[in-house]
Amino acid sequence: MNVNTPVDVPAVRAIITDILELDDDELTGTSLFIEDHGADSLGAIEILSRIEKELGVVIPQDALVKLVHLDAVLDVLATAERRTP
Amino acid sequence: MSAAGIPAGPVAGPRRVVLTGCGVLSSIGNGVAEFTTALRAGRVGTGDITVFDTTGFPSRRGHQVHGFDAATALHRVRPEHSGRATQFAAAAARMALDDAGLDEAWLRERRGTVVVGTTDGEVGELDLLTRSALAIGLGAFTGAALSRTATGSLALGVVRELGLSDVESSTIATACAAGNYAIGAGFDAVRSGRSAWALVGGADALNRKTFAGFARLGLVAPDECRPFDADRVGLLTGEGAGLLLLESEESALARGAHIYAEVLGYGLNCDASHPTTPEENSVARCIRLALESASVKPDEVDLISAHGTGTRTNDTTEIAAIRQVYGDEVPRTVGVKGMIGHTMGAASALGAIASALAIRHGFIPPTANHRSTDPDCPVDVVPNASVPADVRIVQNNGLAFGGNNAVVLLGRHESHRGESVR
Amino acid sequence: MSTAVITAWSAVSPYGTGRAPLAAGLRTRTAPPESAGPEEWTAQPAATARVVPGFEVREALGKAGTRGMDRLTGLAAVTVREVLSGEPPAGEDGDLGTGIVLGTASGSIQGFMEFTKASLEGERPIDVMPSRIPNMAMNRAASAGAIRHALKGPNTTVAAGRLSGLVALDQACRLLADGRAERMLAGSAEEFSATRAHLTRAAHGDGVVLGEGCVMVLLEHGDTATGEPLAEVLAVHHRVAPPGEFTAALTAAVRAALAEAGVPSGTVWAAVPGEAPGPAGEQERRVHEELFPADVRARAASVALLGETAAATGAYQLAALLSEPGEPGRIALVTATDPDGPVGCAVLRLLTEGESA
Repeated sequence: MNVNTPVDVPAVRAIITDILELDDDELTGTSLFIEDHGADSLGAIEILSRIEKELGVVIPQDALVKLVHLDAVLDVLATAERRTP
Repeated sequence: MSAAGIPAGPVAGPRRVVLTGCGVLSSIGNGVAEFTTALRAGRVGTGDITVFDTTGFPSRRGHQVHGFDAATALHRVRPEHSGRATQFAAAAARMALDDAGLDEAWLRERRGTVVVGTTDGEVGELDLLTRSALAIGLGAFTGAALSRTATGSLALGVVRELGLSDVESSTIATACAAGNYAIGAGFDAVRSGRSAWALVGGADALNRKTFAGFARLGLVAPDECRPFDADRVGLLTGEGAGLLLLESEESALARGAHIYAEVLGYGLNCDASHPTTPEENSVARCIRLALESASVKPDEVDLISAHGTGTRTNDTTEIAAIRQVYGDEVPRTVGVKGMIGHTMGAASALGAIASALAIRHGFIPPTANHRSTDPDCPVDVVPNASVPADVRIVQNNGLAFGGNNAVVLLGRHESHRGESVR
Repeated sequence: MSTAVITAWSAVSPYGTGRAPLAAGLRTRTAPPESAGPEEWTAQPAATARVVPGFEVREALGKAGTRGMDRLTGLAAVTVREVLSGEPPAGEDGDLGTGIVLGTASGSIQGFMEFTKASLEGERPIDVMPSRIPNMAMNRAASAGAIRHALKGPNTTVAAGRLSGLVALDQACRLLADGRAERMLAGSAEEFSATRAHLTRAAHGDGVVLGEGCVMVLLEHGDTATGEPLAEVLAVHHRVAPPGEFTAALTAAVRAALAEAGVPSGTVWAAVPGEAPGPAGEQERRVHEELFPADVRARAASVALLGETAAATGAYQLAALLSEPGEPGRIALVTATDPDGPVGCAVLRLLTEGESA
């Protein structure tokens, strides 16, 4: 089932800025995690993992490669499934 | 023997080092005979993991050792006092000793080297301790736990099982290349004359910690591990042990031993770039170091036993590195992890044993579960069925997290002097 | 075959970061202070230990590449930095000829157990901390040191309990002797953690005070060394004692090492035991009493000053010798005894007058 409630954008921003250790104004919708913010492949997995855990959703592992910037994360989240306990 | 002095002993100059005994525990068979049959048949040992609770994991498949009865396999090490990986190491060492036609007394009469490679040591014991501590609190920490959880326990288990004392022993924890590191250490010890024999290889037991880590990374295949396949999605964690008995050629010939192969040389290096992603140029350099150490030219190599984990990144990087060294004339390159899973610290030791069996018995073990080869891995992976072949020299790769690379070269041993494979 | 010489060394110890504070503390036989360890799941609030004061990995190393890095790795990485301080950074191709052999007991057991705890307690068993995954490989500390300084030579992690420091020294000398590297960093490390404290006290008694830290030496070929040789490694010999019976095996190891070094027992200027807890340490002390006169036994600091440092002990013993002033050419040895059985001895020739006070 899809998430019908709107994506909690501030929560997603907070997770990403925490993991990439950025000030909030450094992260734009399209600033690239790897190229612009020095993240590596583990950083993307950490973002995926924390969002899954804190927002209670499941993101398919193959979406990992799409998680290049904030807007892309929000796009993936728009179709993510809720976790089933 | 001295760290840096001149080796004592009757033979001047470096000795040739041969492999005369193999001990195997794996998902496709225990003992070198079963393992040989299974490799030749292309048997796949995948099943549901039962050594720890897999409830809730996306998949519970892996490569578990079955039919291992520690109480029968071990004579001195008490199963109730040791962890699973230590039991594996000790049992495989005893198997290697038997397979070499040697006994404990022979070992005790000569100084030797025991080096066991591992990724996790006794992390399975720490998993159990974690569970206990969560359930009952600090009372979980008992007096025996420090020794039981020590990584050095693996090599020490071999020493205790065989009742040895005049032996240098260590466990090498260079993750998934550790088996080849151990073989290299034993090779140097015997070659220099510092030790008359070496029992070396690797052992690891399935555990929750590592299973959870690979699952979190999204590197665990849902069904089978398919090295170099276009549709590969990951590895399957496994367990097992591979122990090799090495001695000098002179010693083996004098006692009329059955020689599987000669250890020709090895190379070690470190990517020094990323903790979890391999680096092509560095892997290629390690291969060159190994070939140089073994005095082998690329066109003399008949087979590559690849690290071949079945993850997207490893396989593409590894093949690119191999092609840097071999150009378009890449020897057949197989990934035995399709059959036995990723046995971590045991992986390159079992790969070395598979390589030696290929040399000894004249066949190439297949890359199992194969459907179509990834165009980015353009090599003959010997899909699904073993083939008979005259195999003289094999390159065995081990690549680890941390960028720790180790490559071992094995060659057919010709019993007449002067007809060396080199 | 050339012998290996030590041309630099450094440490992160309960005396602080770098060689100087450790050398000064050992020379003056002053125990470092006890302080509270890091906050951890199994920590006992009032517990103290001889920890590296105020050590925080990310403060010590900066933020780049250190997210999730465990304490053991941090201690080792800072030590590598300190040993190589003063050298220009490696060029674009990295430092192909320099490697590391690091001794450890079991990696970061605290980190391993916290990871498993997350798997057991998480909503899903894969709800573990991704940033900690690199720590899950026991070679994390050795490889992180290499990554930070582009050291592309052989990179080995050895686990041999309290013998870890000696085995690392031996392995590094062999890799040099066999031409597999031009320079090797060798040493051993131990982190303080609540889990290690519980395991140690359960095994050896509640009175044990834990220590931690990392010491590494830089080894080069004697005939091509670019640095000033501080000591020459003459021999390392180790073996395994029958359960509980350390005396004969350790004595044999010392005699074998001295024979390999080609030096008579009477020429030994200083002998430093490993101070293992329990019967292993008691028997080791008796072996020293049997083999060496009291002045030889008292010439260098006892590593007991540092607390129970487990796998790091052997490297601290080397530091104790390298810190002690005296005439060049002194013969010195360290012994190691592990309660589980391994015993060993390393023989050095000290080539300088030692650290100036």
